[in-house]
Amino acid sequence: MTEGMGPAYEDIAEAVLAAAARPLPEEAAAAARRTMVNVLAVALGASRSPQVTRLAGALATPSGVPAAPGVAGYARAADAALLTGFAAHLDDFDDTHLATVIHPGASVLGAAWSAGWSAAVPGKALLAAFALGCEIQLRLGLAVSPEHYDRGWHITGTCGVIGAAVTAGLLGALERDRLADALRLASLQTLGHREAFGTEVKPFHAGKAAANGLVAAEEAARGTFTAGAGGILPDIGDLLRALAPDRRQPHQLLDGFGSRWELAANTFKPYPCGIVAHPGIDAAVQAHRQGVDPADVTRVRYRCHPLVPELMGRLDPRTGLEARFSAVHGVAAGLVRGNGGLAEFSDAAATDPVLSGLRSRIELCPEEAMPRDAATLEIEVVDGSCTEWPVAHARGSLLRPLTDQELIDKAEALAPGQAYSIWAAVARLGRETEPRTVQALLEPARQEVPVP
Amino acid sequence: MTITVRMARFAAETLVEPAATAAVASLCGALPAAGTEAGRRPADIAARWVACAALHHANAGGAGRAQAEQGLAVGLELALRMLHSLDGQVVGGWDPVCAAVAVGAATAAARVDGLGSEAITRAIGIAATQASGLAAVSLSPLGTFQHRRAALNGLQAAALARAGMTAPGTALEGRRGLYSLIAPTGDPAGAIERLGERWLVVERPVPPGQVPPEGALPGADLWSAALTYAMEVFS
Repeated sequence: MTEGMGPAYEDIAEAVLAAAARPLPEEAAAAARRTMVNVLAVALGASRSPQVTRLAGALATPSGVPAAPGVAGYARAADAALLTGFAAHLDDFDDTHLATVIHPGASVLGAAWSAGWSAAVPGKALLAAFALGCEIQLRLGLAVSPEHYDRGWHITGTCGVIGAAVTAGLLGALERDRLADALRLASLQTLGHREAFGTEVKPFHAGKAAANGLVAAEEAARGTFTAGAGGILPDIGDLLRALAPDRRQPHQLLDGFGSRWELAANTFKPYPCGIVAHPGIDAAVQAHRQGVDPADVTRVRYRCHPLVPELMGRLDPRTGLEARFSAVHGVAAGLVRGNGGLAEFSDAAATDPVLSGLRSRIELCPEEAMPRDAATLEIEVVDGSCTEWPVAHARGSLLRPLTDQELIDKAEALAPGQAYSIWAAVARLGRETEPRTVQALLEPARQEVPVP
Repeated sequence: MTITVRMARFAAETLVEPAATAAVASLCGALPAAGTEAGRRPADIAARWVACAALHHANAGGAGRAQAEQGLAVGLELALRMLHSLDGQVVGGWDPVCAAVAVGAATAAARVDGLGSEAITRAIGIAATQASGLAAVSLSPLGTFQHRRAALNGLQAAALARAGMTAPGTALEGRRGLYSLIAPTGDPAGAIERLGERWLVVERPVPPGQVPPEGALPGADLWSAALTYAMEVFS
C-alpha cells in the first residue's frame, strides 16, 4: 500500500548533511571503497573502446575538466561527468544493488569526477560524498521498487540523477536549502527507458544522470530557477508518484538513514553482462572445467529465474553490446571458453560461429521458484546422456560476494598495472584531510601498496 | 516501418509547405515577446522552446534562415503532434511538454544539419529516453528550468546521433518506450496520422500578444532579434 507523499526535500538534505558530517561507519566506508575501485576500473577498461572514443570526440573541448578516467583531453564539466558515467556502465561490468537492480557507482563516479575536480575536498569528504550519493539513490530505488523497474524504466538512470545531485551538492559545499533545491532540480531531470537496452543509450543513461545531477547542484548554487521553489515543489512525493504511480514506500528514503546502509548490499559483477545471467554462466564455466565438450552438446535446458528471458532474452546477438543482453550467449561462452570476460562479450565473440551454433541449442526455461541468483543447466550430449549443473548462488551475489582480492584481480584485468595503486589510493581516502580529487586516485602509487 | 522511423523520415525528407514555413517564421518574429511559462498553454510553451532550440542551433552552426525555418517546421510539427497524442493520457504526473520539446528540438536540429532518416531515428531515441519533468511545476520557474533542459537535451541528442551513438528504433512506441511509460493508454500512431498532409504548425492558434504585423513575415531586424533571443535563452 502506498504511504503518504514523501519527505520534504529539506528533510532529505538535512539527513544527508548530518550523515556527511559524521565519520562513515566502517561497513559503509568499506562498501564505498570497493564500489569506487570497481567502477573506476570498469571506466578505465572501457576508456579505449570505440564507443567511448567516439563520444569523447563529440564532447571534447580545448580546456575544462579532464574528459574521463583514461581518456585524454578535456570536456565541459557536465560532459566530463557524462563521459565518465557512460564509460563506467558501457560494458555492463560495474555493480548491482540486487534489491533494486540499480548500478549505483557509475552516475555517482561521474558526478564526483567533475564536481570534485574544482572543489578538491579532503579525501574523507570525497569518500563520504560518493557513499551518500550511492546511498540516496538506492533508497529512492527501494521506495519505488518493484513497480518502477517493472514498468520499463531504467532505474540506474532515473534514480542515478538524484544520487549524482547529492554527490555534486556535497562536493560543492551546498548548505541545506541549496542542497534541497539541487534535489528538486534533479527530480525534474530523471531519464532512462529500458527500450534502449542493447544500444549505447543504456550507458548514456548512467552518464547523463551524472551530468544532470551536476547541473542540478550548479543551478541550485546559482539560484536562477529556484526562488520560491519550496512552495511549488515542497516534497519528493510528486517524483515518487511519477516513478511508481501505483505503489511506493516513501519511508524507505530516510528510515535509519546514516545507521543502516543499503550501499553495504552493493555487489560487483564478475561478468560484463546483465547480472541475472551470472548463475547460468557460472554453471557453464563449471561444466567446461569438468570436461564437458561443447562439440558433443546436443541440447541445453537452461532453468532460470523469469527475469532472465525478460532482461537477457536476445537469442542471436550480432554485436558485443547485444551479447550483453543474451543469456544464451553467456552460457555458450562459458561452455566453449570456460570464461565470461570482456573477450567473450566482444563483437568478435558475438559473431563467432562456434558460439552462435551452440547458442541455438540452448533453451531458456524460466521457473517462478528459481531464485534470482540461482540456475541449473541440463546438458544433453550425443550419446543421449544428460547431466545437471546447478548453481545455488552466483559468484558476486550477496551470499557469495567477490573478495577484495577478486576485486583487485578484476581491476587488474581491466586496467593492467594500475589496480594495486588505485586500491591503495582509495584505501587512504577515508583518513585523508588534505584536498583530494578522483583524478588523483589514478596517479601512480607513491607509497607501499597494502595487500588485502 | 515503425512510428519512430516514420517520424524520422518525415523530419529528414518532407517538403515543408509554404504555409508551414510562414507559420514558423511568424512564430520566430514574435519569439522575443513570448514571455515565460506562466499562464501559457502547453502547445505555446512547446513552440517557444522548440523555436529557441532550432534558432540557437542554426545560428551557432552558421545555417541560414531557410534551413532554420525548415528545421523548426518539421521539429515543431512533430512536437505538437506528440503533445496532441499525449493529451489526457499521461499517468503519474509527468510533463508531456518536456517529451515534446526534447523530440522536437532533436528533430529540428537534425533537419538543420541535414541528417538522414536513420540518424534522426537515433536522435529521437536519444531524446525520447530523456522525457521527464513534472506537470505540477510546468507553469513556474521550475517549469522554465525543465523545458529549457528538454530543449538542450534535444539538441545534444541530435549531436550525439550525428556522432554515431546507437539508439533504439522503437523509442516512442516500444513496449518500454516513451508512450508505454508515461502514457500507457496513449496511441503513438496518433502522432503520425496524416503526417505530411495536415500541418498542425499552420493550425496552431497564435497566442494573444504574439500576433505578427498583419500579413507580414518578420523582416531582417525581427529575425535578428529572434536569433539573439534564442542565444540568450541558453546562455
